[in-house]
Amino acid sequence: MPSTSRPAKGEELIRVEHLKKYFPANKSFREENRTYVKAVDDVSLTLRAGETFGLVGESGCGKSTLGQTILRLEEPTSGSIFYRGQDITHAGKKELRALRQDMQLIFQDPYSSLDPKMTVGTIIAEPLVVHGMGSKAERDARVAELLKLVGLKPEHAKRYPHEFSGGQRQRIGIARALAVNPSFVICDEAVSALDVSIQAQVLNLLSHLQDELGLTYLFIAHGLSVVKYISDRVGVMYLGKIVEIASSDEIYLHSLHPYTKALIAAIPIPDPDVHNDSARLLTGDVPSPINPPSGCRFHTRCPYATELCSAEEPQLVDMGDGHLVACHLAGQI
Amino acid sequence: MNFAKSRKKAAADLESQATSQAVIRTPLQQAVRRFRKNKIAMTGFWMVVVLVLFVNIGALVTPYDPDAVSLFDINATPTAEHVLGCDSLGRDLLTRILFGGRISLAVGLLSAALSMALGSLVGALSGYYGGVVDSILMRLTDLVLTIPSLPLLMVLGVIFKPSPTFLIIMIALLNWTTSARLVRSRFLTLKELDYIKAARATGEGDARMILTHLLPNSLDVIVVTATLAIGNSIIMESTLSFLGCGINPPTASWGSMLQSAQETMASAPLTAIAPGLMIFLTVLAFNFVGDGLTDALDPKRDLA
Amino acid sequence: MEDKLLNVNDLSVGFESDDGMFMAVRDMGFAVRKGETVCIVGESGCGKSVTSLAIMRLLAEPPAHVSGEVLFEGKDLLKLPMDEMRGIRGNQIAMIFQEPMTSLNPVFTCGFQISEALIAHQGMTKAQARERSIELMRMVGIPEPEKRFDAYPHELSGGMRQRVMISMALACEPKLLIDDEPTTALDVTIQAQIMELLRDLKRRLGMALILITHDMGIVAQMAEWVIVMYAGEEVERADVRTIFSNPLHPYTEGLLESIPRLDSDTNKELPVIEGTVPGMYDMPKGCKFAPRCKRCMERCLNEAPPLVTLDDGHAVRCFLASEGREDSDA
Repeated sequence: MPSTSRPAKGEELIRVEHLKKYFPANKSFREENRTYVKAVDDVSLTLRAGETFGLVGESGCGKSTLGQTILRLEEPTSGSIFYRGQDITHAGKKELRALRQDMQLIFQDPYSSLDPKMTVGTIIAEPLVVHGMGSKAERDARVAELLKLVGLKPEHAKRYPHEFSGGQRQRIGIARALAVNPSFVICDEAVSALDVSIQAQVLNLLSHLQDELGLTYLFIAHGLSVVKYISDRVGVMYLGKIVEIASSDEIYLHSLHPYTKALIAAIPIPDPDVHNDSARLLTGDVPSPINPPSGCRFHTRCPYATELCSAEEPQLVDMGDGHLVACHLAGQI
Repeated sequence: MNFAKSRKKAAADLESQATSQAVIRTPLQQAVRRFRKNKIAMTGFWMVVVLVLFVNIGALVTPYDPDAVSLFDINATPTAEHVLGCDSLGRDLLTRILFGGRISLAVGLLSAALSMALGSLVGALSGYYGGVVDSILMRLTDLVLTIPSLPLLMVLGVIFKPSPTFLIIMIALLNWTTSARLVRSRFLTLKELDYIKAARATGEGDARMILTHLLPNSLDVIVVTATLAIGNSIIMESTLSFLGCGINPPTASWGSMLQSAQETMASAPLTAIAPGLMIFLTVLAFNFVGDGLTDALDPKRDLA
Repeated sequence: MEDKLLNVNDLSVGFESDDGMFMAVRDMGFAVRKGETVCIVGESGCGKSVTSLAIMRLLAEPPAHVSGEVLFEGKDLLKLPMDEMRGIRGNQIAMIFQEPMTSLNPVFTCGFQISEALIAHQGMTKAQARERSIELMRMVGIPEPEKRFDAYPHELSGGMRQRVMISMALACEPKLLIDDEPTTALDVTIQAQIMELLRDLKRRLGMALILITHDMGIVAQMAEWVIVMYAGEEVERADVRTIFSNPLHPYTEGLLESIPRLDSDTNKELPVIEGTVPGMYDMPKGCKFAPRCKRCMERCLNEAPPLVTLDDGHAVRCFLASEGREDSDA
């Protein structure tokens, strides 16, 4: 057992400081010719036990990389990661193995995340086998229990993944993640690939499980409405940086960063009589993360950008009540 | 009451999804089913079965010694006693086909199995670890690929007078590269899949990862290349024996029979036609099976 | 009646498979008027994409079996000879696919791919086609179209590629544009741009639009007429306001309730439709939705409800809605 006790609600669970993750974009031998994709660029973040932290952003903003770097599935380029106060940035193989009992991952694609050659029972029991937990009979009992927990039936253990629908596969993925009784779960676009009616089921399941098992979620998604629904706090990422963090109601009602405002304005409103505010639509595309714009990375698409924005990079500033924003014009727009 | 029950049942039927056979098969059952539906593959399969049985049972049943020289029967035409006639030394042709078949099939199967094992190992290590390991192993593969195998084997054959075992090993050592490359590229694809990431996130060790996830999901490439390699190995053995650098007389193999048939071909055409036809049929059968397996094991179909 | 551009009657599509025939689409019937946007909504596997492919006759037959009628300006597309169909495809009816990454040919420049259609269908010379293509690219909001004309698909972002796809589809000024989930693969801010573009183009060119989507938000923003599909059947169709204000089929209702909205109460649980979509081979015998329906009656399990048209063309496939209404009329 890596940690003797379950983390108490509100205790600091994960702290990330100035985390950077660069991927080499070419294989040049000379350092000065080398270019990097700056997937995560100087991100600091604290997660408290029992909360759900939502992370939104468009594809390529680095949100998934951030999640995988926290789990040490990717090696951080620099910065540090703390789990319950203990520095795990350079944890060795053995420590990592122990940590993986506490931190788990739920994937986006319910089709590629389950080994097609294994039965559902084997898939769910695997983490238990790897961590040497329980006898064969105990593991079978645990699998049955987990299947019930996620709303499937114990007899499903003998089936293969292809016999299940997308939503059911996602439930199997959740059961696997929960098998070792983790305290921290990263949901990487866990509902994005599901149909609306199934998405609602899985969202409800995730929040039930949180209440029941005291889980902490890092919920990564590209849709702000889903993130806002499930999260206590929301962080918005743009080109490798967090540009705004606030409680989920605050983000929706009083967003301060123009990018967050644009994300909200872009969601099609499911009401034929209320039209999206097309004036707030962003123009242009997300710039390349290899050569991000100078100063504020958003200034090339920002309708309010001034000269200062292209010259100087804004820092995350607390605007009160834990509402952090990185914008020179925060509060003025 | 009754209604509530039937409603619940309808919902449960949906939830368990697979009430029909179409979805409930295991991946293996699906593959077998697809294979059995493929007429050409099944033809190939039965040809292989018949060939193997024919050669092995026939060799036990035949009253003749394959190497026994009989001066009375030199170049005998087919009769009731010698169904295919005899060769230039009076040996029963059918018996030699049977015994030669055992050697040829054994060389083909064993060297294919050996090259598959070696290739999978190299491919697996290379694909899984990447980096330096990958570079070294792949350069080694490139190196082996540049070796002109036929001349090398001929030279070795002339020097060592090879036994069947020696041939099996040599052919395997020259043929593993295909499966190594294919297994490696499959590993590279699989490594990007989420269930492999999930396994890493659970803290699985390297050996377990390779053995429980990566290899089983690469089985289709491995099996298919191995099957196709059997045909190749048989041809290589025949070629070498034909050129006089493989199986040495008097031991029979289809290739060496072809070689000794060179002089008698005009007078007794069966001495050449019989082993030639056997090689042709065997290689064809294995290739049919191999193609059938490619379709039957196609992993893309399992996803649907 | 004259303003109807496309009239689909009793369209059914079945697929042969190892395990017998399964019906992907059953008895679809709808009409698209000139200049109108019709949205087909439903979850994956409900047959919405198959419907559009059947209209375009892009399904390989066999394994597919298409029956029924697709009248485009009075001509039955399903009975046209293939070469005539090719003349209509791309020229009068165009289609945009979901994946902007795989729908463009990577070995040709974007400009070439746009002008190809112009040269083939409209007999333009190369120079004319180039000029027109650049004009089209400008129209769909591609910056510096002269430069982008010679760009290869991989040099463009997803949103730009989708714009190229749209300009290709618009090249021959089609009367009908079919969009199969045109924005699903795109980011929210880009999706919003593309939707705005489609709305604007429709207004300017007066073409009709069939938009296939699973997003009720897009339906609300784009559609004039909505068709809700479930398990291969139309379960409800009505104009967009009626669908949102007075949905009669329990599935439509459930679909609308289960979307997390920005202004919804986060402390309350999301309403859900229980259960899963039936598999292709395991269709319930009565109403296809019955096992998941919260208002299921005994009758629904044994008897399939017909699609009944109420006032204003609002049609529903549900005993509750259709018969409740009939009773009150009587």
